[in-house]
Amino acid sequence: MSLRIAVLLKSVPDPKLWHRVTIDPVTRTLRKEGIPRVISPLDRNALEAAASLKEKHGGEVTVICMGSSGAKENLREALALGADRAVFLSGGTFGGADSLATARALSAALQKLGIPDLIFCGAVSYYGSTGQVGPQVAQMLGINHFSSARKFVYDGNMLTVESVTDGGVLVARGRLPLLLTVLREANKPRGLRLSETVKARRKEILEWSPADLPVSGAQLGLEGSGTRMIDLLPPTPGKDAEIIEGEPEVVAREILRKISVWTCGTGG
Amino acid sequence: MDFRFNEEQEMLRKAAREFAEEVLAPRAEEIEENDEIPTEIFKEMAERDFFAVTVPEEYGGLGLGHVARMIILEEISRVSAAVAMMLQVFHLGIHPLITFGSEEQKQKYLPDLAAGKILATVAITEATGGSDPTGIQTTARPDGDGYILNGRKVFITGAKVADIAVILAKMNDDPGVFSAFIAEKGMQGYRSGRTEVKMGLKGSDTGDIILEDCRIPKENLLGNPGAGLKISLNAVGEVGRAGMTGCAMGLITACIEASVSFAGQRVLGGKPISKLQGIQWKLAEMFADLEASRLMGYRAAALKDAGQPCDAEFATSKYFSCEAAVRVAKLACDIHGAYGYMKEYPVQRYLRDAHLMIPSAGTSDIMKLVMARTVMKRYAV
Amino acid sequence: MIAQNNVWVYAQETRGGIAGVTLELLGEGRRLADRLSVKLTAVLCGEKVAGLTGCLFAAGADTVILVENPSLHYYNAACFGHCLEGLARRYHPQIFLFGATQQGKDLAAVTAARLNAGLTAHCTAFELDDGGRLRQMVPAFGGRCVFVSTGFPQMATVAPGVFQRPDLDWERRGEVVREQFTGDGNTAVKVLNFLPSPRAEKGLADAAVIVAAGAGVGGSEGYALVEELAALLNGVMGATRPAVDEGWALEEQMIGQSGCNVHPKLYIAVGVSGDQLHLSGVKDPDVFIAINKDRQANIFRHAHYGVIADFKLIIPRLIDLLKSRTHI
Repeated sequence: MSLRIAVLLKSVPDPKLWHRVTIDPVTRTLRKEGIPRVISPLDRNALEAAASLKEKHGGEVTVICMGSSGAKENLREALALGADRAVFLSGGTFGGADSLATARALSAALQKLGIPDLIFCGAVSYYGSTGQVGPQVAQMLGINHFSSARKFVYDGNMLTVESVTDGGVLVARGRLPLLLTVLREANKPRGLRLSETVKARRKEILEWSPADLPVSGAQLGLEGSGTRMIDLLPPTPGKDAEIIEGEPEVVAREILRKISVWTCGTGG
Repeated sequence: MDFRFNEEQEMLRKAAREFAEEVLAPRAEEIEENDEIPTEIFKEMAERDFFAVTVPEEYGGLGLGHVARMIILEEISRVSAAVAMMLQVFHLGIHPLITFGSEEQKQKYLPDLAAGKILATVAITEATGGSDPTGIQTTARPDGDGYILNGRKVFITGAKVADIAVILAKMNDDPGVFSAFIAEKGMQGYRSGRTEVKMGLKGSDTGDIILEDCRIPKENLLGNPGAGLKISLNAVGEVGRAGMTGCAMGLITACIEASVSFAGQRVLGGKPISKLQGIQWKLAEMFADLEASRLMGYRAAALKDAGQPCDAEFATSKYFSCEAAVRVAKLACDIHGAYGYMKEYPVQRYLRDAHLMIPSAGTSDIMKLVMARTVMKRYAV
Repeated sequence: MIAQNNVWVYAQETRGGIAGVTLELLGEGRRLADRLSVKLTAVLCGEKVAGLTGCLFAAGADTVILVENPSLHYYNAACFGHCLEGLARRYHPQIFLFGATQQGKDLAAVTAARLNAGLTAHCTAFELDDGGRLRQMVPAFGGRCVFVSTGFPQMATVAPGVFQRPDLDWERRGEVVREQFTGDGNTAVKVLNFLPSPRAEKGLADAAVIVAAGAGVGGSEGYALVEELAALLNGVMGATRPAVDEGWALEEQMIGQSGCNVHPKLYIAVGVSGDQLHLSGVKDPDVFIAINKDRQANIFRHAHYGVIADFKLIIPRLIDLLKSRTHI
């Protein structure tokens, strides 16, 4: 049974370098120059889920990403990590989208491709993490979804899924088509292999503008967003910590003095 | 002249960096402490096709060339020069088969080498000859339709783990004639001997290969009889020197990163020492050394990929980058002050690692002889 | 009959009771409703949940919209989303708040899509501007983003522990409005089982003493050291996202914007850089101590006391002192 699988991908500034991002107090914008872009970590798990499934059961994996031009290299990476082709939504009026407008763009792209059998995305992205886009895309396409999936088993037309929910894990079975948002524990994403990076060169990246999608431009980007950011407040300067100086032994004793209230009744 | 890397090369770099940061970096300290590289590291490198970079596609490789190879070595060396050194020597062991191997030899060994299923090395150096390979004493005596080899190779990287070794031996019947042979671990009379305990590059396995009446079948003669020196010098000259340059570049980068980080954090007199001119001058010198090493190295590799002569260019890049590695590592230690001597900080390891790069794959003095030959020819009036 | 333009809070039923975050949101919702001079409505869906309405009134709701149906036994987006969409289209709430629990986040997203409404995630504060519009604050990179919705209802999710639980007034009464579930049961998805996770003996959310491990802890060995300290202080271990990503700590131990919000009296952060996503989860400890060998770490701008050193030099000595009780 040949599966048509889609993966929703987000390109984010490398989370390991977020401490370099600052808020410019004058322009009230984020300063993130020079931070390389990576595939949002949980989207790697989503891509791995899709690729493994395809390798086991046959089919095709399409990666879809909406982003600025810098995201294209992440799409090429995705093509080296198990995807067969990529769709890149970029340019003009896609920009400034909140999760609602993003979900609309992605849904429209999926409509244009033909709704796949399975859609995977990361449960949450590492930048502006709302975790909303996946469930919203499912809603817009009129298909069922499972959020925070940690495990799934495919057999024929159905998927048995374990989703992490409040107070425990829900085990449920759903008929395709389905959308899954996946957690880190779902799998161990494969690393980049040179042979795959070579093959990725020849794979297709389709670039679509808003005009290519079956949705009105007013529904996309900043204009189509349901929320708008009206201000970005820089950090309020707090009082800096009082530094405890000295040799480790001295410091440890000083710490103990400060926490003495909570050490009564403790110890070996 | 376009000095930029193209998109594919940047992707290769990303793949190598991902391995270096996610698989290697967490284990770098363990490798240093135990003086051993876990076999999983080789397995991961094999899975990512790092052994296949220079093997032609028809033999199961990727045929990506020597610029690609240098990118990978540079990225790995930035995290662990020891692992980079071993990988570079594995490539070195593969090279003579690609260039001089018979069709049967290529079919037999290259696919497994590309897949990292077997590892190769080159065994030239002996106690009686390293810089001058004609001083070696290992002999090869014709026996039946094969050969019997006797001798001891020293300072061989991968002596213990290598599955095959390209051995340089002198023919017993004519002292001036040298041939190259492919010896396999498991052949009778072939064994690895003592493992050296080194000051640096901890984890890389350096030791002896001993041949005691080791019988080599005739199909394992590599290249033509008497072509041994040509084969050895070609391998070391182009692939060995290129590999060392790649290792040096990565190490220099690591030194600069450590120094920038430390200088930004070390506060003296109310401000970080990175504000001091004295420190900035050192960083500038380190940067110039890195830029020069990279330009020389990648340019030589690009010449090789284009099939052009590159012997002198590799000699120059090897000489420069490896001397620079020691120079930069010392500057990094200087910037750290006494902290640079402490094991808690990485720069002392970089200094210890850098030193072996100078005598490896031809000492700086030998490189200068090669360079001098070219200078006198090219600039003769 | 429910008035239009009320402030709504989605009431989540968990393990037979009302989720704590619902009560917290009712407290905040009460404040907003009073400022806007409208009523506060809680929306409760489930199979047999009528007995829980008293709690919602005690927390400040004026009205509870109650929808009971077997299709609503287990949470499922299709039925619950259909339900909330219908109610919202009927009663036009101006504000609709959800707890950012697993269920809440999912349901809020689905409902917002159904209503073509904007949804702001992980708000930490609300304000009303002069026109009565809801300003929704979300922490970002050390500062805060301010969002507004472009339409109605203005929807937002809030993590547990951000707002204070209100005092419950069990004398309070309100109006229960029963609504019918009009959807068809979702037949494409069948729940097979629910595996409850063991209730945490001592949760982060209630802990008075928390010791948190960050990326600087470097590995499971360092993590174990910090754990030992926590145990000696009768505290609970917390962690930052990098520590969870590296596998030393569990997701449930993560403190921060997308993790737990904590209100400890004593907070010791070891090897934590102090990025805002983590700090936003730590509410006003009485004593906040940070140990980090990076002088530039952001945490030193927020902690009360800082130690610029490798934790491996400090923590073992602290542990020894605690064990031998030679401290003052």
